[in-house]
Amino acid sequence: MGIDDGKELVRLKKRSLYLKRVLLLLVLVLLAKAFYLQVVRGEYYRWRARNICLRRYQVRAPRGRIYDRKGRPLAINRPSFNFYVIPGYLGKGDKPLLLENLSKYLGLSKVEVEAKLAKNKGDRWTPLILKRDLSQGELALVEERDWLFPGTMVVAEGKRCYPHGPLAAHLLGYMGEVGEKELRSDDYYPGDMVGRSGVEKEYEGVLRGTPGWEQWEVDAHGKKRRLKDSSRPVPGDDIYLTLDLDLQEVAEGLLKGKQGAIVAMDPRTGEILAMASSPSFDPNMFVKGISPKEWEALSQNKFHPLQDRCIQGLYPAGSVFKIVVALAGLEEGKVKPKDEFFCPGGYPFGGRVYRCWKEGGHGHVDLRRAIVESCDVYFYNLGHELGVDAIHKYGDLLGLGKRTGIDLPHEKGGLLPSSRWKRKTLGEVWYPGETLSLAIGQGYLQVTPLQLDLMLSQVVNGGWKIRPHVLLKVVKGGKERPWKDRGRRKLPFKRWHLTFLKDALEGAVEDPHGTGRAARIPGVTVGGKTGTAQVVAMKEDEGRKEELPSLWREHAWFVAFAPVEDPKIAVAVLVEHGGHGGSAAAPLAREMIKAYLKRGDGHG
Amino acid sequence: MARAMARKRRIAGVKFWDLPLPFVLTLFFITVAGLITLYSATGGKGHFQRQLIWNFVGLASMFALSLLDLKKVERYCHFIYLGALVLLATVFVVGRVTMGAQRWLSLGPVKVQPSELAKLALVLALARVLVHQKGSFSLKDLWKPAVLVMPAFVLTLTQPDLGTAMILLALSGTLVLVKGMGRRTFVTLMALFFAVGVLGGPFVWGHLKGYQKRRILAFINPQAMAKDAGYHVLQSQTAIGSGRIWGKGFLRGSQARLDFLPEEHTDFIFSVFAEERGFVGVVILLGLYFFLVFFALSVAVEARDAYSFYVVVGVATIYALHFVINVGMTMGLLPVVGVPLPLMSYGGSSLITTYLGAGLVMATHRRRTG
Repeated sequence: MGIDDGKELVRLKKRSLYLKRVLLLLVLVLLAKAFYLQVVRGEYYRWRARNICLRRYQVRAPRGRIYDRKGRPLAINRPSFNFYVIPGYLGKGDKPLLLENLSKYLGLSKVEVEAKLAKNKGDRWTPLILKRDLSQGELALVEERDWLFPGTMVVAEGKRCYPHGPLAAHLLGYMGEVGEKELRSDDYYPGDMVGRSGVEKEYEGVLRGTPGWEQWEVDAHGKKRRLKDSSRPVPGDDIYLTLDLDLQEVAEGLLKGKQGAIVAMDPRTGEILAMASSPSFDPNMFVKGISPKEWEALSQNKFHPLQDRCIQGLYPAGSVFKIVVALAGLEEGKVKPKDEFFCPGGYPFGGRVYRCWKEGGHGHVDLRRAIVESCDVYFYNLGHELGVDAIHKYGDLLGLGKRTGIDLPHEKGGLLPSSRWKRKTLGEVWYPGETLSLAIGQGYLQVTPLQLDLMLSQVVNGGWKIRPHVLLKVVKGGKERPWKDRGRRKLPFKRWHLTFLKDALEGAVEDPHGTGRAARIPGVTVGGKTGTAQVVAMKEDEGRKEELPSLWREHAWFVAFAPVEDPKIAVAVLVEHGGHGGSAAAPLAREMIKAYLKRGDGHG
Repeated sequence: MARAMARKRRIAGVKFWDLPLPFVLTLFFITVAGLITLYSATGGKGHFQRQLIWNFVGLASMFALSLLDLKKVERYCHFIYLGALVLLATVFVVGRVTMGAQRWLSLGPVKVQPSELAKLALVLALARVLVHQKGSFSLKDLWKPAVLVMPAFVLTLTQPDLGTAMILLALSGTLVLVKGMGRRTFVTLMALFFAVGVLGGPFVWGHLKGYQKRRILAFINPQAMAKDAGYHVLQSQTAIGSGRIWGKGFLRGSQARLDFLPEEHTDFIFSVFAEERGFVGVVILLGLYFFLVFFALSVAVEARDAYSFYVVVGVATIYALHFVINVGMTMGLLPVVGVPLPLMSYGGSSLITTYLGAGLVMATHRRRTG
């Protein structure tokens, strides 16, 4: 046999021809598939190949800094290292390894990280922040032993820092990680920090800047190979506040150990010079991401350290409100300065006796003495003659019971009652007896320390309506944008009425019988008014208040301005449960004015 | 008489330069394309240099083998096959485990993959069985080739090396068909295969390894398993497709350069080539492979004896199965199995086997009939 066998040869030749044909067919099938992939779908695969090796990374913009009015830093950025994970780079076995090592070396609980990863379902390539502000030791660990932490990266970023700690914490506010709502609505990325309160929140848009990006060519392991394209971030604008750091320090020192608030503003412009609320907190706590425990300790604290008492604390104005009633009486022509009422120490009305704070009474008092000595009976009379709605009109003109419009978030409005208000919300008519309570600043009245300071400012600045504000200017690359004062106008008060009131308020401090004598400063003319806000309604026959336990004691008010001839500063002081305004609050106001004027500059 | 004398001289004395030129040239072009692509896939480091050395070793053994008379090979072919089986069995005792399978044998610094050599040994042994078979195969006669293949098939399957096992089976089937088979035998056999497939399929599925199942599922629907086994196919298709018509150019394939391609220097070297050279390159390369097999078959029909004929057809079939399965796999036409692309995939065992096969083709050409 063998191939020499002719018949066999022919057969085998035919078979090999078959083989060649089958092979040709197979090759054509392969070519068809290659044609499909490379020619028909080529564009798609080219796009896909580009897409899987090009990654865009967010580059955060440095946040704008915050300075006081003289350029001293209140909020700055310090370099820090943040630790991220990119879920897309976590291979099959990587996740347990990463979770294990994160809890072992960095103290991040597995549950916490797992929840973080689960929350971010959208883009697997967006870096998720694991830990902010790595310590030196942690940084060395994660850089040198990167195989323990697959899919992670370290990014150097600025960290918000408040060099003075709790100083002006309420005003500056604090930062928090961006929430889901902001992520959906705004141009934020997971892990961004946003202002949550205070100036940080109010001026978030100014401070934030514009984030940049970098487009990298990455390999299958997520390693950056080549920078293809980038856009530099635009840093946020710097902000200068009207705040005076020295004065703020004085204010916070005065409130140490107390609960209360101090607001100081320039009555000519509405610039806030100091704004302190006690107790306070350290906004640096929030930068690293506050733990649930710390948050509970802060938010559940019975003294409410997170509350900014200056704009959120609501209290009856007490006798400070007599300034408004006096102005209303003069403007409405119900009373002339020389008109006298007789104070026997009480005012019988509607079957009960409304007491004056002074047992035995003041005798015959005119308007000036009524303000100087804070005679309640005089204002019961005047209030009764005016009626609630006249009082409301002037209180409203002076900005009480509503938001002042200060450039800070979460301001509260309070309540300045009127007969219409009572009818609408309580469905009851206004009782004349309630007017008497309102005339001495009690009852339904609820105001913030800022509102009282604004009221005083507008009375002593010659009747100019002002808007309190904390922003002095925004600085962007050397260009300054100062605060624009809008809506500055004259209030419809007679000039000599205001002059009279200023004089009377000076008397309250300077006269021998003045209730605010504790605010006197040698060489400076100071005007002021005491106030006492009732915490619980007193029955008329109850004893005097000093003996009450502190929680039931009244809040002490004092508002003051100086110098009387040309006021440069107006202060409102509130000491919770401090008792009498004259003794508990007036010395604080004195120290504020002294600290501000004795330095001799004031400002512009 | 004189003619007969002359013919005898040519058979006895071998001229060194008497080469099947089209076949050798095709082989050479593919080798060069392979080396360039490997350089691109590995960055020209250790792999490339080692492959270069293997190429020289392979070329040398090819020429050496081409001088051999296949009559001698025919005589010892059963021993060669037995030796290959022993090597295959040794893998289980001292083999190296990589990617969940035992395929490698360490001989000093050299790692040998006996399953590659086994394919060639099977061809040598099977050819002799075919020569001794009188006339077409009937169902009764099929026991001989079946017994021959079975040990190699079982050994490779249990490594497990599904790809090689299937190639052994397909190779034997092709050769038996070339020898010839009665129509009724063929139909009965097909029916038998079908029945075994339907009844035994679930059984075999139950005995597959996890990664094998995933690969088959990924083949059926790569997008759904994109994060898993389908990842390889999808990335490979992306590499090939993104080459478009003209390719991205030498060292410009982002899929390969950035490690998105798995096993880019071994099983998926074709994807690297297709990404860099585009459809035009693919047409040329597949054309070269086609002609490699085509010219080998042309040598076969000039063979002096039936044994040489079957050996050369066997070698051609090995080439064809490898490149069709490998390319089909990288393009998603076939499930991912570990089958190298001849002359292009990195790896000494596959390369030497390919060259030895080429040596057999050349030896047959030297002793061809007019």
